Amino acid sequence: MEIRFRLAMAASVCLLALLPLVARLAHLQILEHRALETRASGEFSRSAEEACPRAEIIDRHGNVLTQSMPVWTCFIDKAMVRSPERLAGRLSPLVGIPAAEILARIRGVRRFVWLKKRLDFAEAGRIAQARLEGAGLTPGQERFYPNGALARNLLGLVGAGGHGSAGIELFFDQRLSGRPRRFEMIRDGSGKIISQGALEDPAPPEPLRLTIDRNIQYYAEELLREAAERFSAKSGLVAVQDPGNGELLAMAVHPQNPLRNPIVQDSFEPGSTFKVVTAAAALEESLVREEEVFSCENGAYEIAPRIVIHDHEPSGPLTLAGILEKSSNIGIAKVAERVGALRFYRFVRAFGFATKTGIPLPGETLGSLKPLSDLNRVALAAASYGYGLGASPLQILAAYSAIANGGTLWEPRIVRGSQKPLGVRRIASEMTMRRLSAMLEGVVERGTGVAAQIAGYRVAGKTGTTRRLDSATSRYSEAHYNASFVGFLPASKPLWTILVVIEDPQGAYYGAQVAAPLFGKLGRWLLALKGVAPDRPRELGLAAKSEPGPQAASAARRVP
Amino acid sequence: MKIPSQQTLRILSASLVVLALVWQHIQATRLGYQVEGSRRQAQALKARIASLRAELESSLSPAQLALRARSRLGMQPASPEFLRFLDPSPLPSVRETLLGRLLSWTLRNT
Repeated sequence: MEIRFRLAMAASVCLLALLPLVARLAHLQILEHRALETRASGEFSRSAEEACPRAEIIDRHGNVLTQSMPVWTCFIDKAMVRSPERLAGRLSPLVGIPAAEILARIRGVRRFVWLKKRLDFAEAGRIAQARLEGAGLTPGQERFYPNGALARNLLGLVGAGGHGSAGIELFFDQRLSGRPRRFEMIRDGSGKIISQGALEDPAPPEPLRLTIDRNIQYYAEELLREAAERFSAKSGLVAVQDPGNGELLAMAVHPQNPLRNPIVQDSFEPGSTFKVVTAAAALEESLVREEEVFSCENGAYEIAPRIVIHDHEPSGPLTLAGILEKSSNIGIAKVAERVGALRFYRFVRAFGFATKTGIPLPGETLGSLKPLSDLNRVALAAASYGYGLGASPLQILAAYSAIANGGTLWEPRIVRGSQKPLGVRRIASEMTMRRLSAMLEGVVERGTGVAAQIAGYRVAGKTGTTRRLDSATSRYSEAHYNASFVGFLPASKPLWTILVVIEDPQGAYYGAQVAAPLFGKLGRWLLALKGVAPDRPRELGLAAKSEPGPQAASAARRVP
Repeated sequence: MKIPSQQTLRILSASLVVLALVWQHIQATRLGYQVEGSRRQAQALKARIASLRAELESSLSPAQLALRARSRLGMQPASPEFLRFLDPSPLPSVRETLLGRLLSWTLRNT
């Protein structure tokens, strides 16, 4: 009993000493539990974000046009640096910056210094392994273009904030940007991270598939660069479209500028390539018979007092097909007189001019067209051969695609999706378009477009040569021109519509000399690439080469 | 053998529960470290994959391929005259082929 009492007393004394501790523990755990927990979670626990890479942009075959790459930026926090000399010495070989320069930055005014941006995986790994006090890494994403400058005018640009600032990157910014992954983590006493699970884990965005064909884009760019250099041209563009569904296969521009896409954003006077609109109106409304001839006044026609229309080459009487073949301004102006302003205006609008095509790219131009009330006799004549109005290269391409496919104007497509191609409207009957197509074949066969001939294949197209407007004098220049050619091939069953525009070429300046050969080269390459069988096979046995022969070359020298 | 009292059992059970909770907490922390390590490893691997993919796409770009095709293999851009189109001639009838003859002979002799 005595022993038991003594033991109880000893235990009580020991426990009594612990009583304040127990009381304190109870106070902290029960009374101040919530406040302390909040404080602790603020200090140790936090939610972090992991940037989701921006979606890839791929071509129609799945080849990558642009992708996001993880990059790291190395920084220095001066407050954490114990020995600047030692840090500079160790960091120098890792970042490839001289130690003296690093030292100068550390000794600068600012506490926080960005040392080197865009470090790749290996460089960042070496710096992380070195465990340098005061130096750190911050992750980021950068857009990488594996094909270099290919299609940059179309793809656009991503700004420093990771958002698109031009082109596809801008228009589809929301679609391409992924939502970041958010997760919760706590740090232990040594600062080591303990993951606490994901708060939000969204799926990364799917790649954006374009209708562009990387190979066609490349070859179009190469040919354009060659032509621009050969003719010392100010700029140029080539666009290729599938006339069967409106899908754009290439949009090449020279010189490249990621901030601008002149195929969509610029408008220019289309010149003689616009004559097809006048011709289509005349044929559809049965205002001109195919065998009917128009006097082309031997190259000069006074349409109004002191206003004379000139042809590049004097011609006598010509049929509508002959007018297109010889590219006679006088002839087409006379056809337009018969069509009349109202019908002409209606057809211009039906072909999709002076309205947006609906392509999903930023900054699309409407083009320009005088109001119907201003289309007097002179304005109508000028408009009939593509002066006094503005059209974007894309509008011209879409119009020729409509001729190629038998009369359906497609909405140009740049993104491949599940939705079907959108036919905007039927412009004219299939018969009209077939007759017009045959006339355009005549242009290439015996007219101004002979330089676009491809042996063994039927090619249809139209040349264009326009004087450039001098911005200083607001008058048409006598020395500066735009040369163009637009057409489709093979004419029996068109697979491609191609537009070529060379701005301000030096030396030669006619569309027939500058743009048509480029069309021919690209056409030949496309036919070979896709293995298209000749639709005029007998010609292959006769022609030794499919380059334009001497007759074609001399014709190209003579005509626009 | 003495049967433990109910109170002892309760204390033992409570102790076991506390131990389990402590063990669970330790395991959660250990797994947290592992998850963070794996996350970093996955991030590094993703970066490596992106870097390799970029390298592959660059070397397969049309400009690179054209350059190598020209300089190493002496190739030139395609053109239609290099294509050979075969005449779609009619296929020989069954009787004219060797198998057809064999089949006919077999049928005749059985």
